[in-house]
Amino acid sequence: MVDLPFLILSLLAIVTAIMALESKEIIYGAISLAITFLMIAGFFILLQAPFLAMFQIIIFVGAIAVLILFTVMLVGTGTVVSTARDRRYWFYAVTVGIIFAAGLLLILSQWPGAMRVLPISLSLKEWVGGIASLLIGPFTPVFLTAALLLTAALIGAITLAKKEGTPEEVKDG
Amino acid sequence: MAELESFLALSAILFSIGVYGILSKKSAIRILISIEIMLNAVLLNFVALSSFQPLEPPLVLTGQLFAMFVITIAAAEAAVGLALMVVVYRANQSIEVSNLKRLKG
Repeated sequence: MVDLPFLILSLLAIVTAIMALESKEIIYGAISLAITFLMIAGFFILLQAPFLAMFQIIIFVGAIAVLILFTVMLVGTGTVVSTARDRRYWFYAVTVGIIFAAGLLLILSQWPGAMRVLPISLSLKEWVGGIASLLIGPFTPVFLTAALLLTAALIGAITLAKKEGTPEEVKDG
Repeated sequence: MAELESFLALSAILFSIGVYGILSKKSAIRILISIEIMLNAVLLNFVALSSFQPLEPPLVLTGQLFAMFVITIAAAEAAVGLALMVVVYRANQSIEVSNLKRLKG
């Protein structure tokens, strides 16, 4: 038995995910991608992970979706992308997607552990405390590596997007 | 409350939408959008599987911690990927992946 919030959220998530790929203007696609991210955050709340839902909204909706919007504005794809050429591979892509989904769902339907219900509900204090004790405990190396990775990505993105040459030349060009 | 199966089924459907997008789209931004959709499907899978484990409080959060690391990597990936797109657009005046043939032998 599937309940109503799950049904509404999943319907909206699937529809906005398809909209993100199929909308005519790419900028509407980016906006409906942000709505997909919001729906996933709703699922995290259903799964009793409110802290992660907050994370999802801050990073995916607040940073990544806005970054995609800005890139669309910088690149200006309205004139560049021809939708006609997408049609050539449409049939193959839909076939592969449907076969992929059918395979995954078939595997899922034969898995005996799939019918569990949520066993526990944590208080917020247990929640944040548990995350902290794991993060500053067995997962400290991963935590530090993630910090290094973010720094490297930051430097890489700035280096890539910076214009070539000295500042004077860039001002002239 | 929904069962684990419905969350995993939804995650599989979202992932397949991402696969379809990667295979069919020509614009690099759409391909990046597909990758983000697939990453979100994976996140949903992590959180669903960890929340349904019958474990004690600190250990039951391990999957959610992994989801946090996945979010971190997704942020880094999006930043670098979009910077690359700006560079490619400056060099070619286009971000259609079928136009990028200069490295082709």
